Amino acid sequence: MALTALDIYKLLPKTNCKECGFPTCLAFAMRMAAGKATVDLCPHASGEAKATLGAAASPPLPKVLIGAGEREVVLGDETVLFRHEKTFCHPSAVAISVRDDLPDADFAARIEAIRGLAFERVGQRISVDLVALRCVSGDAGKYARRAGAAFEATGLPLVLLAPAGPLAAAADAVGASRPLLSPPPEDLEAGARLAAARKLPLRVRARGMGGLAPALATAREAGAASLVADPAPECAREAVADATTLRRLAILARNRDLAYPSAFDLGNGFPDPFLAAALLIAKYGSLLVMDTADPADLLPLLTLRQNLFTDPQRPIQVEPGIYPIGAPGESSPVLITTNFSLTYFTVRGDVEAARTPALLLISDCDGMSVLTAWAAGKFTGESIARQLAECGIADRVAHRTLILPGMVARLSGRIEELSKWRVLVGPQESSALPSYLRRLTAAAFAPSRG
Amino acid sequence: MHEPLFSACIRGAGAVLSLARTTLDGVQARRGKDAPLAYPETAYELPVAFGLTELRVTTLSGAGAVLDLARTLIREGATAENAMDAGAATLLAADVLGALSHENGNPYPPPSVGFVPDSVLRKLGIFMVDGSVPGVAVVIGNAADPAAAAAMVRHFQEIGLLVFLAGEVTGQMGAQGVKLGEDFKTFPLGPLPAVIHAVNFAVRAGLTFGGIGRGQAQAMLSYLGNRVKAFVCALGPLDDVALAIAAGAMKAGLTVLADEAVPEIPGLLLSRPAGEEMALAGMEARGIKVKWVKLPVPIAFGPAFEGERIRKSDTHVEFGGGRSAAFELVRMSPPEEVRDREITVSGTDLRGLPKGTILPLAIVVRVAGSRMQKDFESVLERRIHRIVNYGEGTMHVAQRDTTWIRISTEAVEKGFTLSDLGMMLYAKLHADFENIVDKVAVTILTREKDVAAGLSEARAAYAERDARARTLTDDAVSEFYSCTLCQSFAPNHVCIVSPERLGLCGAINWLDGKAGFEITPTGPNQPVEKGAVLDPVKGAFGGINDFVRQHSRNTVREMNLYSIMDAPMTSCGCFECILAIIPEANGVMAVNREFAGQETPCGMGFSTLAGSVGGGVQTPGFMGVGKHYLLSRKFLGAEGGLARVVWMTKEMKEQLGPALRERAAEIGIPDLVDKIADETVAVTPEQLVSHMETVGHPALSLPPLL
Amino acid sequence: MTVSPSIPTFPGRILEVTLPAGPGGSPVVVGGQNALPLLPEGDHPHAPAVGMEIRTGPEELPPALAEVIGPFSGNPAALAQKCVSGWGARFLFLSLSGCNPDAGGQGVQDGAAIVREVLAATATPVIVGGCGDEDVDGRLFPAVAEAATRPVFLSYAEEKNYRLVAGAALAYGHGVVSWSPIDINIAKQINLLLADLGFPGERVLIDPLTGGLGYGLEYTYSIVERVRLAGLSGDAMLARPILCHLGDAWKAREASDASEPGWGDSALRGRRWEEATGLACLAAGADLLVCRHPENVKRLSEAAWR
Repeated sequence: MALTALDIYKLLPKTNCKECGFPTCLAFAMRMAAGKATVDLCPHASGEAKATLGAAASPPLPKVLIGAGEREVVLGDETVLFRHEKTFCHPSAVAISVRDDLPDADFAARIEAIRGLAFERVGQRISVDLVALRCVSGDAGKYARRAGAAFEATGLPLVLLAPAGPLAAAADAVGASRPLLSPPPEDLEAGARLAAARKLPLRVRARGMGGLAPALATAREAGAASLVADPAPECAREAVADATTLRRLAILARNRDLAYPSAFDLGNGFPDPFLAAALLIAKYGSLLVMDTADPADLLPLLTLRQNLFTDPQRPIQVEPGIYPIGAPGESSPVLITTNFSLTYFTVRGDVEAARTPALLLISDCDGMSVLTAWAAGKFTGESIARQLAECGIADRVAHRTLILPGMVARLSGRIEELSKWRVLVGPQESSALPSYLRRLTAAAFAPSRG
Repeated sequence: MHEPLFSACIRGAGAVLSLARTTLDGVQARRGKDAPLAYPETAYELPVAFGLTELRVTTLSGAGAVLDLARTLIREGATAENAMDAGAATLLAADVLGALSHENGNPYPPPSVGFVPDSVLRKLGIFMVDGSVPGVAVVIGNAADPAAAAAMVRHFQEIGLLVFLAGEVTGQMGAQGVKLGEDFKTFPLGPLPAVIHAVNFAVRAGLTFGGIGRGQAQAMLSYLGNRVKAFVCALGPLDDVALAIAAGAMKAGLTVLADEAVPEIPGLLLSRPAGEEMALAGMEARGIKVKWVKLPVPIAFGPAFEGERIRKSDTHVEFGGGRSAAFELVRMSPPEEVRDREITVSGTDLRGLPKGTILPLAIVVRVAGSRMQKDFESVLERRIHRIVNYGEGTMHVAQRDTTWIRISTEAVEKGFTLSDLGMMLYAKLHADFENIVDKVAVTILTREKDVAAGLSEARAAYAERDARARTLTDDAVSEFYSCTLCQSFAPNHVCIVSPERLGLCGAINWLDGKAGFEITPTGPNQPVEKGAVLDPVKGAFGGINDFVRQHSRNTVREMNLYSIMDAPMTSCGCFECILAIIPEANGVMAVNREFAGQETPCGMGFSTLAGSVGGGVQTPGFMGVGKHYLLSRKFLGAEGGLARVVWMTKEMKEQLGPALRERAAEIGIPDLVDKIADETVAVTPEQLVSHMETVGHPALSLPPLL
Repeated sequence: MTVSPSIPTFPGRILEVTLPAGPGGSPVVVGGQNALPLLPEGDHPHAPAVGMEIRTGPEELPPALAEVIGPFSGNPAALAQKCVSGWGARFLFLSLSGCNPDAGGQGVQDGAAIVREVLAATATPVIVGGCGDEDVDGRLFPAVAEAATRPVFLSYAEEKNYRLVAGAALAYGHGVVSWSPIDINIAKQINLLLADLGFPGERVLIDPLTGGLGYGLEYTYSIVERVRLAGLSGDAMLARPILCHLGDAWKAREASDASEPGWGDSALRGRRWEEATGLACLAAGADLLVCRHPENVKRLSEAAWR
C-alpha cells in the first residue's frame, strides 16, 4: 500500500528547512505521496527514511528512460490498471522505423518525414517519440553512421534494432544519446553485456511469458539493469493479451521478474499494425515500433494517446479567449462558456452545426464545466463582466448582446448590472444551440448605440 | 351495515353467471362445443381469463371451463371477501358473454364500439406508461343530471384521462354533445354489460405493458391496483348486476364512486355527487395528478429568467425587503384540510395599483401528501425563491420573514396578478416534488392586519423548525444519507451526510438528502442505515462502512465520520474549505475556496491542497468539508473538536461570524476565535506556533495529533 | 521458473441481449460474458458486433464518407441493403434525423414509412434512432413502434422520455437503448427506472454517449470501463451490453479537413479517425459499435474477437 503524506512526514526531519524547494516538510511529504517528488530532494533525510521512502516510492512497474534531455522518453512507472483509478502517467511511446540500407536521399527523406510527425492539439504538441533504426545492411559501419545521422537530424532518441556487431558500433557512435538497444533474441547475451557496460536500456525479445522469463533473467545476469520486455506476439490479439499479462504481473502480483515496460515491433510485416497500435495504446503497450510514417495513420493514434493519457481528474483545459467559428462579422452572435475541453468541444460542435458564424468566448474556469464552475465561484457575473471588458470582444462586434448558457441563467442580471452587455439566456443543453441560433433574429445583434 | 351490499354483489354474480351459462349453452347447441370463440383483433383470447386464470380459451367448451371456475368463486355468506370473489366471478362470466356477443363483430350500434382492439390498446397504453394519460375513468349507469355528468366527462377529457362509457350514460353524453371517440380518448362501449370491455382493456394493459404472463393472477391484480390508475363512476341506481361488476372492480383495487347512497368502504367504495366532487375524489383515491405543460399565467415562466434583476425604476409593486412586513411559509397539513389547486388571494391584488406601491405580503402554502413529512417544509419553502424568480418580471430575494419580492411594470401590464403567483407556486411545487406532494393550496394575503397576524404564527413555525433542527442530531436518527452526485468525476467518492455533518460542498444537508431520496428514489441520495456504533467518538458505524465500501467499489474500506486523522471521509473536489493538519502546531488549519493566496502555515494554499485531497481518496490529515461543519458538535470529535483549529482565513472567520463565537463559548473557550490565527498573523508554522504560545491556544495542550 | 498470471475473476455476468432479425436474417446476440474484453480469459460467448448507421436527413458528408455512401443519399432502403449485403454490417442503426425540424423536417409518418421500407429491404436487426428534437421524438417513437413490422430497438430512452420510449417499446414488443450523458450513476439510474416500469432487462442496451476521438473520447472510454467493471462486479443494472455510436468521430475537424498539408490524405484520415474511436471503445468493453464508413465494418470486426 502506498504511504500517506503523514506516513512520509513522520520519516522526514520536520525542520522546515526548505532546502527541498518546498515551504514545509509537510508540503514536501504531500508531493512525495502524490509521486511528484522523491526523497533525494531532502538533504537531511536519515538513511532509514531514504530506504523506506525509496522503496515505497519505487513503482510496481519500473521506470525506463530512453534518450536524454528534452526528448527523453519515459516508459513504465505506472501504478494502476485502469485510468479512472488514478491516471496513466507515461504515454505509450511511438517509434517510427527507418532501414539503414536505404539510399542516402531516401534515408534523408524518410528521416525528414518522421521529423514532421508532430501536431498541435488543444495547446499541446503531440508527436512521435523515437526513431527505430532497422539494421538490414548488416554493415556495422554503415549502421553506426545512419544512427548518428538519424539522431542528428531529428534529435529523437533511437531504438537500435540490430545484431550484436552493428549494435556495438552504433552504441559507440550515439551511446551518449541513450538509445534503446534492441538486439535479436539470438544476440541477447551480447546485447545485455553491451547494455551493462554502457549503462543503456535494453529491449529483451522472446516469445510469450515462457520465453521472456528466462530471457530477462539472462539479461539481468549479464548486468543489464534497465529492461523492456517484448513478448514477440504474432498478432494484435496476442499482443493485447501479453501486454495485459505483463501489466497485471507488475501491478496485481508485484512480480519483479517479468514486470517491465512492454515493447512491440508492429512493423516488419506484423499484421494490421494500426489496429494493434490503437489497442496497445489503450491496453498497456509502453513502446510501439511502427513502419508507417503516414500522418493519416499517426495523427489519429497520437490523438488517441493524448486522450487516454490525460489525467481524468485534471481535464484538458482550453486556452481562454475569443474563438471565431466560421467567418464571424460585427453582427455575429457572441456566446460564452467555460474552458473545460469537453464543454468547449461540445459547444463548438453545436455552434458549427448551426452554420451560423459566431464568436465563442472561453472563460478561464480551471477546466470546469459550466455548472461546476458556477458552483465553485469561477464562472460568475463578476468574472464574465470582467472578461467582456478586458478580452477585446467589444472591438470585434458592434452589438452588445451575450448568449449565456441556460444552466447559469441566474447570472444574467448580475452581468447586465456590471457590464454594458445585454444577456440572452441560451438553452440549458448545448445540443439545442443549432435550433436556438437559427431562430435568433438579426435584430438581436443590431449595433448598440452609446 | 355492509351485509346487504355484499349479498347484492353475490346475487348479481349469480345472475350474470346464469345468464352466461344459458347463453353459452344456446350457442353451443347451435355451433358445437369445439366451435372457436374469440374477441376480434386481440392476442389475448378472453383477456380476463388469460390474465387471472391458467385456462386457455379458444373454443366454446373452453369458455365453459371458465364458467365452471367462476362458479367455484361464488360462495354464500355476506362477507367482504366473498363479495369480492363474486366480483371476480362476474368479470370472468361477463367476459365470456362479451366474447359470445362479438361472434359477428361489434354487436352495438354506433357510436358504441364494443370490444376495444389491441391496436388501440397499444397506442393508448404508451401514454399511460408515459404518464401523459394520467389515469382511467369508467363512467357507467344512468345519469340523473346528464349536464352535470357531461361536465364531469369533459373535465376528464381536459386533463387527459382515458374515459370509458357504458350504460345509458353513453347515449346521454352523445346527446350532451360530449365529443366521443379515439381522438378524445373517450370510448362509448355500449350498454351496461359492455363495461367488461373496460375491464378486459385494463387486463390487457397489464399483459402488454406490465410484463405479466398468462395466469399470474396476483401480479395482475397488483398491476391493476397499483399501476392502472382507474376508478369507476357509477351513476344512478345500482342493481345487483351493477354491484357485482363494481365488486369485481374493487377486487382489482379500483375505486368505485356512486352518486347514490352506498355504505362506503374507504378507498374502494365512496358515495359522492356526480360532478367535480366525484371527479376529485376519484383522482385523489387513485393518486392521479395533473401535469401542466404550460402554466396558465400571463408572463413567461422558466429557468431562463432566473437571473433577471428588476431595477427600482422597472418595479411596479414591491413586497417586504424591509419596506413592509412580508413572509412566506410552507406548512404540511392533513389531506382533508387541503383542497388541491385552491389559490386564495385576500386583500389588494396588483391590477390597477399605481407604480411604486409597497404592500405587506403573506404567502402561505399548505401541502399534503402521503409521503410528505414535516421536515420537508423547509425544503419546499426554500424552493419558493427559485419558483418566483422563474417568472419574467418577478424577482425574489431572501427567505422566511426577510423575503423581498418585486413585480415589474411590464408584468403588471400583461395582467399578472397575485393569483398567478399562487398558480406558479402551486404548479411548480407539484412538478418538482411530485413524489412527495399530493395536494397544494396557496393563500396570499396583502392586508396589513392579516399579514401581522400571520407573521406571528409564521415566526412561531420558524422557531419550532429551528428548535427541531437543533434536536436533529446524529445520535437521534438511525439513518444518514449518501450523496454520490460527484462520482462522475471522483468515481469512488461517497459523501455521507448526517444531521451534524452537511455535505462537503455545503449545499446538501441531511434534510435535503432525505427529501432528495423521496423525490428521486433511484437518485444520488440514498438512506444509509447507521448500523452498529463501532466508535461514537470517531464516528465509526458498521452500516456506514458497509455502504461506503460497496459504493466506492471496494476502494474505501472504512470511514470515520468525525475524524481527520483516522480513515477520514474522502473528498470529491467540491468542498467549500479544506482542513489540513499543521503538525508543528498540534492542530488543523481551515482554508476556504475563495482564498487565492498560497501562503498558509502548512505551506500550501487552497488550490495546491485541493489538488492533493480531491478525487475521492482518503488523505489522513487532510479533508474537504462544508464550512458549517466547523460549527457542529461532531466537528473532529476524534481529535478534540473546534479547539484543534489553530488557523483560519480571515474571510472564513467573517463568514462564520457570531455562530463561531457561540460555538466557542459552548465548548467553554469563549475567546477561542481570537486565538485562532489568520493570514495577517502567521503564514509559516513557526510564526503560528509563536502566536499560539503568546495567546495560549488550547491546541498546544491537547494530546499530540501525530 | 513458473509464471502465475493474475487473472481477475468476476462474480457478475453481462446479460445476454438479442437484437432480433427478420425472416432469413441473422439475429445479433451480445453479452453473456463474465470477463474483460479482448482477453483470452473467462467466457465470451459472443463477439462484439459492428453495425452501420443510416441517416435520413440531409447532411454534408465528410470527403471520406461522401465517396462511399454519398451515392445512396436519400435512399435509406438501398443503403440498408448495401450495408448488409455489400459491406457486412451485422445490424443497422437507422437515425431518423430527417424528422428534425432543423434538418428537413420530414413528418413523423414519413419517418415511420422509412422504417417500414428499411425493414422490408433487409432482414438484419435494426435499431431506430430519434431525430433529437424532444417534441418530435415524443410523437416519432410511438409511430415508429407501431409501424415497425418486426421487433427493433428504439434509441434512446433517457431520464426525460424513458416512460414514453419504454411504453412504445412495450406496446409492440421492441427493445430500448438506455442513454446517459457519460455518467455511470445516471446510466444506472435510467436502467433502474426502466426496471421499475417492468421493462425486461434482456431487451435493454446501454449507450453511454460516445465522444469522438480527440473530442471527449477519454471520458467515454473510462465510463465504458467503469460500467463494465461495475456490471462484472455484480451490479445487475449495469450488467448490460454497451453500444457505442461512433458518429461523433466524424464531427472532428481532423476527420474531414483536407486543407492541412501535414495531416495526410483526408479520406484515409477520416476513416482512421472513426476506426481509432471504435477500437478504443472495443478495448474499453463495447459490445456493439455503430460506424459510418463501410471499410470500418471490416476493420473493426477484425478486433471484435471473443
